Amino acid sequence: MTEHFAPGALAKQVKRSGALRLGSAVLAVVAVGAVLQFGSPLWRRAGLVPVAQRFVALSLPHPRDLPTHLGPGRRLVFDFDVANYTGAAIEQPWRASVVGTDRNAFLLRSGTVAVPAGGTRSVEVSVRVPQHVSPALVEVGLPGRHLAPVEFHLAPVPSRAAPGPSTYAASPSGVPPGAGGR
Amino acid sequence: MSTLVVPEPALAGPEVGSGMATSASQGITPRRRPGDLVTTALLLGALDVAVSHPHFLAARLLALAIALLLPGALAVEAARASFGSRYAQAALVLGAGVAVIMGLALVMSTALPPLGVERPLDREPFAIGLNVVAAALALVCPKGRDPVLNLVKPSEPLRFGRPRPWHLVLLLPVLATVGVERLNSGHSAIVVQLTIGASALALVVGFLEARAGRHQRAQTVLFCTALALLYLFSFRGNYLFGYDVQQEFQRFSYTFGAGRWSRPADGDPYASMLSITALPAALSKLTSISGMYLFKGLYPVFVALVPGLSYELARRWLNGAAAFVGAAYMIVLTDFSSQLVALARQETAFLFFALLVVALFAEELSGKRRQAAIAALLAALVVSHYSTSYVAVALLGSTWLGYGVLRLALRRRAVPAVGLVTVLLGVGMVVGWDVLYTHSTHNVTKFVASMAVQGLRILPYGKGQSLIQRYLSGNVGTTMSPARYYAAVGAAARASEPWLHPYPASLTRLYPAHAAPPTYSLPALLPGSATIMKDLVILVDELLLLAIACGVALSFLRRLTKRGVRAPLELSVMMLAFLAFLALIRLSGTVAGSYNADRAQLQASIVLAVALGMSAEWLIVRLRAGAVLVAALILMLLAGTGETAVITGGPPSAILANSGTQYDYFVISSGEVSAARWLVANMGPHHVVYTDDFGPLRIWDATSFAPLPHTWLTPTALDRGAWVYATASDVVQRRAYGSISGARVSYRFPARFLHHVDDLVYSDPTARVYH
Repeated sequence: MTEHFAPGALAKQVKRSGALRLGSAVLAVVAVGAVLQFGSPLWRRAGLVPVAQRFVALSLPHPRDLPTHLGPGRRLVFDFDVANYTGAAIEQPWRASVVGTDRNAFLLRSGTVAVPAGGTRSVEVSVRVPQHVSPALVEVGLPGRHLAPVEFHLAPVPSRAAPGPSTYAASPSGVPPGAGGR
Repeated sequence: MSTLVVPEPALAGPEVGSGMATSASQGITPRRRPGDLVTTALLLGALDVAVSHPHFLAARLLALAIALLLPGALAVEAARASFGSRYAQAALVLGAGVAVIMGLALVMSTALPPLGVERPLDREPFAIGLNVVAAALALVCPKGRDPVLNLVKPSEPLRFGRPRPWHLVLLLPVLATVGVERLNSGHSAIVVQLTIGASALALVVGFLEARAGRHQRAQTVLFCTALALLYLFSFRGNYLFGYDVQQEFQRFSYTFGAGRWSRPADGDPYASMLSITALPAALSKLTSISGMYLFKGLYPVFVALVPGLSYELARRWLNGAAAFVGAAYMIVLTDFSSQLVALARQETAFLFFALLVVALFAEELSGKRRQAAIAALLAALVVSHYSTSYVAVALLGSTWLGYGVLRLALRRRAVPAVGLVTVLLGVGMVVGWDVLYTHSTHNVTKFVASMAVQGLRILPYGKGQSLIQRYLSGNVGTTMSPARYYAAVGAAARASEPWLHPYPASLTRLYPAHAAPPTYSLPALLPGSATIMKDLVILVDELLLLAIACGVALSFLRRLTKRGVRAPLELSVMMLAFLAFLALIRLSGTVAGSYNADRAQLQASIVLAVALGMSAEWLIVRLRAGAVLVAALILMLLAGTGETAVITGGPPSAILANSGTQYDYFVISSGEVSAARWLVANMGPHHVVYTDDFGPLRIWDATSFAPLPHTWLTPTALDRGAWVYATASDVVQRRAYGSISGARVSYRFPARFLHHVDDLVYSDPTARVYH
């Protein structure tokens, strides 16, 4: 059976229905937000939440001021950074080695650095290059991590001509003889 | 037992839900009652509470919803603008909300800093501004009714707990997000494929609903399907997906950091567009939702509304099924889902363009109210995206001129939908905003310069191809060998970069080019079907284009013969203008260089939905070919998403595997972001950066470094002393990507050469920096 309402009653009915609809929409938005936020462990387990990639990065913090020349038996001074994006504190072993012009590699120094989650730690390396090595390349690697070692080239100079410890002089565009330029 | 039946005419009228009808009928001017503004006040209160509790995601989402919809609803009510259907009205409300926020951000950024408010887009000042604007809009709304409740009034009594099968389409965007996030987490693409299959099924459901005359359902299906397909791409990867969007995000980040929008001093067109600067910055500040999630989640909503608006336009003159075919065409175009998510500015602009077209032909609007709505939509379009507005204004001008000539010839006196005032408004706004205010005319000057040097270049790229092949493939590039690439970029670098200090040939010839390791390919379910499938897709694509052309012809023919369904002659002229524009851009390399042909087709499809619908109606009525048309749409959908590669084998699209060229290009790793940030922080003022073709996206996404890095990453073109940024593809796959003069190449990353000449100064598992 059909029932007609007076315009005033109709207006109230429609207004009430509209308010109900609006309220439902607001509640729905709030509910979605709450479910997404408080259910996040569940979503993470189901693979529905973006997962941060976890890795360790290695860098030379003064790339424009790396030593460029070094003779046999001289002191090499440089530092490197280890950045930790694994989400947990790590004890990261490292190895610094030098490759001579004869392509033989010699371990210069190794150690372990503690890096907090999300942090970066700098390690200074100060070491005398063996007399019998004419250094051409210095490498720093992180054993156990899938990343290439950072490295920088050195132009070998005769031991008597070497002016002392390597310095953080600005790197010219030249690279070791035969390489063409940095 | 009595049943409540609300009289339909009363519900449909503009004065429903108020005492205004009574008052008006009694000749009494309605008075504003405090009760009419209760909903507005409550929602503003909820907004203020929500923005002050950003640690709750629910509060952030609620703030976003209210900030977008409340000002829009009030603006629509204040303007007494009505588009007829609920769907179009909802789209109008969202569009108006976006326009209000852009306008408010512009005004506050311009007016408040001189008054001492240096960061007007920060949360507190912008929230106050939004409250003031909303209150002001509420006060100019029609008296005697609640402006918010009047918009959400139900057309039928509200019913809960009656799920219907078609309601499942509402879950499509959720399914898409679930599928793509699982793929991001290293799982298989099975849920993504399920989403694509469900989207194809949704097209069938939508077609049936439209055929049954359930227009709102058909529009909802179009919206959900479009949004699901867009989300498949926009949520891919943990960073933004696509090319342009990285630069857009940079400009957003700058505005966000500054807390205000500033007119770019260098005429930078990206920084001039409020849609990607002031809008996301204001919304992100207000709601505490990260800009990246606004770009990923909100902007696709804007453009997902567009196919439903095309349906709205088409169904005025066509039956539902035909209108659905016309409207769904946009969704199934290859670039709809994969390209538009990378163009936030165009996602916004397309919404305004579609609303503009609907407004132009809306019978519900008339007089000054109509002109005001058109002017507001034009203004929003112009500040959203320059290219879309150029095309829109050019086509409005063409339509006015073409229809004017026809009216003279046919001696008609009908009032045109596109009047001279509209055209002048459009031209004035483009000139005012792009030329006089932001000086962001780079695109136009580039086009004019290109035109002066090269002419129209009617034949596109594709040397060595036949004319038909060149037409079918459009302005797409070719490929070249790594060795030729090395030689070509070496010569080009010396010619175009006189500052270059290249390495000597005696050194570089020791490191010749090598082919890249093969890319991942999906195994074929049907071996040997690749060519057949490719040809079939091209055939269907061209047949649909032919159907559009026939539809335009049919619309003129029916006008002249006065038989069958007749769309307005003016709309036919507009469709013809779009068709001519499409033909020009498909054939001319010069035009295509300024406005991508595929994006032009997407914009055109908003209007040409009517033309395709005309042909579709003829095919459905005369040949009963509705099923064939839907099958054609589904085939296009599967090809556009790359799903056909599952059958034919071949390179997967980025949404189907965690490897492949598209994955290498668009899916950015955290290691790449970290390396890019390290590079920009350490490279100092002398920054010549080299990377391969895929590298700039990473640098732009992660940093404020705006120039385009040098992308000729070969021993022959590398500058001594430059920085080199190596991407995950370079490091992990040993595959680099390059291009020159429209020719693309993949080659083995020159790691040995770089090891020889450069220091490796940054290293992580997926990226490196050499110097």
